[in-house]
Amino acid sequence: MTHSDLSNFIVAIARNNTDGVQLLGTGFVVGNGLIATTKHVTNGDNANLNIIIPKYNLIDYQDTSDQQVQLMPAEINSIDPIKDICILKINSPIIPPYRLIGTDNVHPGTSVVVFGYPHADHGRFVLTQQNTQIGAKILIESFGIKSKHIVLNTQARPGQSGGPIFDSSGQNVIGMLIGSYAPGGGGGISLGGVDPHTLHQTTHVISSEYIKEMI
Amino acid sequence: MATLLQVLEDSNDIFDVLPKYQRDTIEALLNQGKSNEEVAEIWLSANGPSNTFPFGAENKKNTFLDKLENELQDFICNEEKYVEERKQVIEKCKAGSLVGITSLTAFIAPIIGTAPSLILPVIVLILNSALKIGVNAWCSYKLEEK
Repeated sequence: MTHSDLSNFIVAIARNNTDGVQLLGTGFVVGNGLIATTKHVTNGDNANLNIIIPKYNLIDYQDTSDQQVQLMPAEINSIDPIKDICILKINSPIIPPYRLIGTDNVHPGTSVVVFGYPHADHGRFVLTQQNTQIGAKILIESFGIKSKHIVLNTQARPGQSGGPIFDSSGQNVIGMLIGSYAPGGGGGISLGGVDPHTLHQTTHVISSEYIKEMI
Repeated sequence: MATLLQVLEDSNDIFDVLPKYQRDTIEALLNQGKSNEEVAEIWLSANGPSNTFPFGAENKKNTFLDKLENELQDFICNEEKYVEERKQVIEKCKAGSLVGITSLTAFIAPIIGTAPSLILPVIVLILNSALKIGVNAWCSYKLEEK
């Protein structure tokens, strides 16, 4: 499967409110009508939650002035705030053509492919591919519970949370992007809406094995 | 008429209502020596792993444990509120206590503006506390807390 074909299975998560459509982050198909994203993208709130149906193939020119999107209602099916994973249910029989294999059998230096919607916090709606390598395999603690993550040697931006990380074959999802390393979780300083602690190439990805346990 | 907690007292283990991924995490937190209330607060406030800045487009946190506890207390202790809904949940509990908890969760979730899946473990933890000390004692204790 080509990377452009994979783009049909990657969606933006959005909330439809009186001010219009607000982009929240990225998601991808993980089961029959099931979409994985992060908990913090949805904040556990079903109100007016939607996915945006992919409009452009990755090889197309994505028109950044195009304001027309097609929404599909989504509902939270499963959620784990400790690991920061959320599974949404949509009314569509779509099935993923790839497997969720986790991070156990990948190694630092392995090439991977990242998809997502960077800068969605500014309303930018452009599906973007990044090719990078795994920098490290790490355990990160959340309230005393450790879970498997990898570090990507690339910079990510708000909106990419919930994006899938594929191995180079495009047939396996090894993880889901959740954020970047930031001492204490960041949020202490903001320069023009940007936390300088997040401007680096240490991006955190949680193993897809935990997504598999939830579907 | 039997109260919701009296019906639930006959259940072997109300934690069985949780899907395995949630049960494993809740049990791991309880095994650290934390109380039901502490674990409930952690579950609602958690937003992923430590030292990680989340890359969602809006990053909010949940702060509605008090509201959830109040609604649950009303449902269990306040005879004048949620009369019909309580009857329905108790009937479902009689058919199968775990179905009753799911039904109770589905009722409360939209009142506090959240997804049932997020608050299910919290409701189980609160019910577990209430079952330990008995319905009257729990209702009196919660009333004093207000």
